[in-house]
Amino acid sequence: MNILHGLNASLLLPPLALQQLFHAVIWLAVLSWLGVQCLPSYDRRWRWVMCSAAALLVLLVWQSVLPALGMVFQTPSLMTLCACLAVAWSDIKGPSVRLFGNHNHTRLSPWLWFAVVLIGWCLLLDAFGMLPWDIYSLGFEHRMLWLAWWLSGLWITTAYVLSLHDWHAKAATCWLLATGLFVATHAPSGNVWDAWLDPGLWLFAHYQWIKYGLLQRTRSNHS
Amino acid sequence: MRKDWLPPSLRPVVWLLVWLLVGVALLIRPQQINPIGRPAALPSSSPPSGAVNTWVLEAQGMIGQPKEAPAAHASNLVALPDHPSYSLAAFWFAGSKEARPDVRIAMSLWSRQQQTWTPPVWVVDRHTVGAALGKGILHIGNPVAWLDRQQRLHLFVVGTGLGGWAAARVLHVRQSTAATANSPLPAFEVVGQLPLGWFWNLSHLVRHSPMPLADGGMVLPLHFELGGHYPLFAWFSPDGEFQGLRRLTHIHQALQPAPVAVDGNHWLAYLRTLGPRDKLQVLSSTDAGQHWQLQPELALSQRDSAVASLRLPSGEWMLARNPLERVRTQLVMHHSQDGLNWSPPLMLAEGGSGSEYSYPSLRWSDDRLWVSYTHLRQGIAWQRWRAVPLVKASP
Repeated sequence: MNILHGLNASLLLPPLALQQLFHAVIWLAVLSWLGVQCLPSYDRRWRWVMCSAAALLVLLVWQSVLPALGMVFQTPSLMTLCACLAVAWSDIKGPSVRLFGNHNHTRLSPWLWFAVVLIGWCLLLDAFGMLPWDIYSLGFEHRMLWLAWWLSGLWITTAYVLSLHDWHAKAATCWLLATGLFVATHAPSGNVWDAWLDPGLWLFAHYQWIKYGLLQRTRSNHS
Repeated sequence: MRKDWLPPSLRPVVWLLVWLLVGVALLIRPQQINPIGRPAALPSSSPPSGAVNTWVLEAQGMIGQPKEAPAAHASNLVALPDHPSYSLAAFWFAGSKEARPDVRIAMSLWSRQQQTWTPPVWVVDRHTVGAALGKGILHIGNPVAWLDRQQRLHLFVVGTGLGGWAAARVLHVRQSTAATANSPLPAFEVVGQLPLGWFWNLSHLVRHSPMPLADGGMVLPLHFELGGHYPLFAWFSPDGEFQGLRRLTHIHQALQPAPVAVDGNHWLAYLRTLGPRDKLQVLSSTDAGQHWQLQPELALSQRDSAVASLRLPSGEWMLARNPLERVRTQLVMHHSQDGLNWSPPLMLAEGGSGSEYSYPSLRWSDDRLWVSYTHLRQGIAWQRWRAVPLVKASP
């Protein structure tokens, strides 16, 4: 099996078949999520089924869609995939479902979005050679994965012990799952930064941060 | 009310198990030894002879151009020392014009027996590569070839998305079938796309030949060119697997590095520089590519045109460039004993205003120096040079 052969952990890059698989699966998740956002929320569960089926149909019928998306936007990150799955899970199970924790506040904090925005800006400036350090190359190093593993453990333990809002548990779980998937597959590119954050998710983080951080603060100041 | 499949009290336990599972996967995953810092292959086990050579042009001509392709550019030579029939392979891109959708990668082989280039064949096109990647490719170009320890040819090709060369990515294809007597031309399969940057992997290009490492691997020189320009180096295993990356973001306005090894750990890389600079710039590393510093510029004029460098088995350095004074209407070659002090130029090609002789490639094969370059953007010219000892150095 080409994929199994390519899952040799000593190889830094994922095999081509795996790249193609994740490219299709993550875009399917993103297109499904986009579809769900456009539909009225009369039935959460059926919304996801319908949109996933429609997205799958689009990708199968118009076979140029996936290459066109890949040509411009490449493959979204594993974090985007996990986030889409987490949203779908929450939608299907209903807003009352908590991963664990005592509070029912599941909307991600603007501070988390701000952190994502900040990390993305660092990576962008690094890509354009405007920082004195080479951040992106760190994404090939094993120690980054260990660091993520420890931090996600620390984060969730803190959230559990201090009974923090449930979004902590959900965000830490997404991060851990994205890291775990990367450890197992090296998808989508072999660099863990590409597994954690893609420019699309980063742009979406801007929108969320502005919407729930800046605008709501302005609104509450005026109220 | 729907019943949860997992009781809330068990969720922390499941989370802990997943966390431990990821930890175990990390533990059993073999740690990569830092690939950066491996010594370079030296051209010969014997020290430089000390003999000063003069260079004699032995033969020259044009490599056949595919009939349906009036334009050609960016050739790259690779030696095939163990091939029974062919000693060199030349790759270049050809089509109606640079950065057009019909541009493909052509290949021709130098036959030892017939002492001529084989008719060109197409080996890579954007449709095949795009279909294999699952990502659309608008144009391809700049092939760079390398031979791994299994004698498989690897090709690194620039592929663009929306936005032309500034939106380029570097694609990796590899020979899939061994050449046989009946079928001497290799077929290629797509390996993937090199991960070189976070921002949609945009604007990374390849141009110069790789520098071989002592263990059989290689260092591939690359560059970034959207807004600012800086060089990069990618490390590959002896089997051609991507292993690591060093991005020289502190070097500005320099691209297309042309690396050569002074010794195992001391490397130089000549740079295509951009205005207002007008002299050839050189980078130096004394720890096998882990850290690079810009050296004082050389006394050779150059601006915004590709350079090529090569260390010969004799220990001698060779360099080809377009002098700034003649832009790309003149292509010259120099030789050196230390990589820093260069001989007077040897003329490779020159023409009138508007002509172009550019993008040289240098390769040593069958005890001769081979040069290929773009000829008027209409074809690929080649030359073969022979070294003639001139003066013996004093003991």
